[in-house]
Amino acid sequence: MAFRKNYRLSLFFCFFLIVFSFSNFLVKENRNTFNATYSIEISSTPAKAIKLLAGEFSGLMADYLLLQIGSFIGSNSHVSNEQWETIRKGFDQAFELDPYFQQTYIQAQAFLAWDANMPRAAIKILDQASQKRPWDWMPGYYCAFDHYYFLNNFQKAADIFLETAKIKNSPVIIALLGSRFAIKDKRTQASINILELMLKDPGLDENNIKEISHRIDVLKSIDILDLAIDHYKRIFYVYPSRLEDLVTSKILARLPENPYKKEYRYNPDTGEISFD
Amino acid sequence: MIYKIWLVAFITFKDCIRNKALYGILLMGLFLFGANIIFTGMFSFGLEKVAVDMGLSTISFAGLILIFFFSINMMSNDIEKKTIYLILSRPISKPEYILGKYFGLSLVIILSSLVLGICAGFSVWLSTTAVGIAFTTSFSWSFFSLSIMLQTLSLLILLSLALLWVMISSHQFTAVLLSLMTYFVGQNMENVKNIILSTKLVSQDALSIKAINIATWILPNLAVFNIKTAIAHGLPINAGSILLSGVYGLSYIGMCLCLSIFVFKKREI
Repeated sequence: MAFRKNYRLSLFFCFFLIVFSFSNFLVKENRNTFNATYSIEISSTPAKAIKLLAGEFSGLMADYLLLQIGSFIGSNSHVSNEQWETIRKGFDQAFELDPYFQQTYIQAQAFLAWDANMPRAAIKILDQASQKRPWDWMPGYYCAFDHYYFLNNFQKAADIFLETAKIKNSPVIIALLGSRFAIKDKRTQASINILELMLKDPGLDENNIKEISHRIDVLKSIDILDLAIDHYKRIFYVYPSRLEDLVTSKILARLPENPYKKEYRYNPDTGEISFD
Repeated sequence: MIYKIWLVAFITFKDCIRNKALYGILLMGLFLFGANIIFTGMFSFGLEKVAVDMGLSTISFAGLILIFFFSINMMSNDIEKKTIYLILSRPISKPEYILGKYFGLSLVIILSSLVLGICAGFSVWLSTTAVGIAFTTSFSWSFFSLSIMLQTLSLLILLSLALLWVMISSHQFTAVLLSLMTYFVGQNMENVKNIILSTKLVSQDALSIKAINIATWILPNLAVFNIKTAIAHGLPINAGSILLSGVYGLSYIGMCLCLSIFVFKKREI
């Protein structure tokens, strides 16, 4: 009955339904070649200004940006340099929107430092993240690692490792890494100070106390050797050809021992001591 | 007087509850909470932060829609459709009408925040604790509730301003537009000032900074009530500043209501 009364309307409806079904089928076919991550849509708005657009929803917008970046990288085997630059902007914007979010600096480290070969861009975000998250040792750890691994800057790496080691509950390995890089940069005393400070932490277990104490002994030995080598050079105008020369020349009574019973590595051309 | 205000408030509240648009907004809020669980699952780190972000943002979003598309409509309809005569022909004064209307609509916003707040808490719990994800930050449910309260206060400020704009402007669309502008400026004026100053291209005495400083005395700084980031990351919150925000917000609402009454008294209906 109802159909007869409104048969014209029903006919129109059926017509539109058929056209829609057909066009929808074609649209679906057409869009199959695309996927959600076909292109990355990151506004060229400066990072600082993006906060104005987001207003009180800045945290949510940061989440969305990171999700977009992650899914784009994950589904594209090749990302061009231009696209990496867009992604870098995206990370800057995400960081500006929510500087406390852990995923921002972790993704920046994974993608910018490793995949995009943009360690400086990653370091910038990591450095700011470590300032915003003073309780978190991870951004400092990654930042120091990037300075060492990508930029070959041992001095900066040692500084950041040692600074990060001061954070409560940071793994002991960070201080140990810092002390190793400090040796390379002949700043053993700074490293000893940090490790001695760490020893005062009542939360340390026996193994950690032992490991830190041993490392302090090694550093002190290296400090003695460094001073002796400098003294040798002042007298003989050359570096000793081997460490035993420090004993034969009566600068040292005997070579300092280390708890690991391993030999120090010595480079007679540069006078550098290392111990791994 | 209080009884009459309560009467108008109750009628307004009842009228709103009868309106199906309100259920639509609440339904949308519930849908967004469902989306929260899916959205949060897409992240690897700081899941609790994403869940809290989404939950609190949904409450704000639903509240804003409630003000811009529902409350303003309810307020201006009385004047545009002349139903206000029915109320004012009874022994109810203009100030009683304004206050009653405001408190009635406030009740709707508080109720919506309460319902959506419970849903938000449930969705945060479902996407974190229920699936075995522990909160890594010092997240606290009481601070979560505090954030909802501050958001609600921010919405109530906006509502008081919207009421003022309805009283000043003669058109609903103008009132929506002015309220939207107020919201945008209120949310961002602090940010704009910080950005301008951080560029170090302008001094504290620059005209733009002076204009923003003047605006802070006229428009409410809504960013004060936004503690979502702090809550999501479990950052420390200063009790004194929260209390101050409350006083700031309530006093602003008081001022807006006084101005609305003043304008309404002068206005010819």
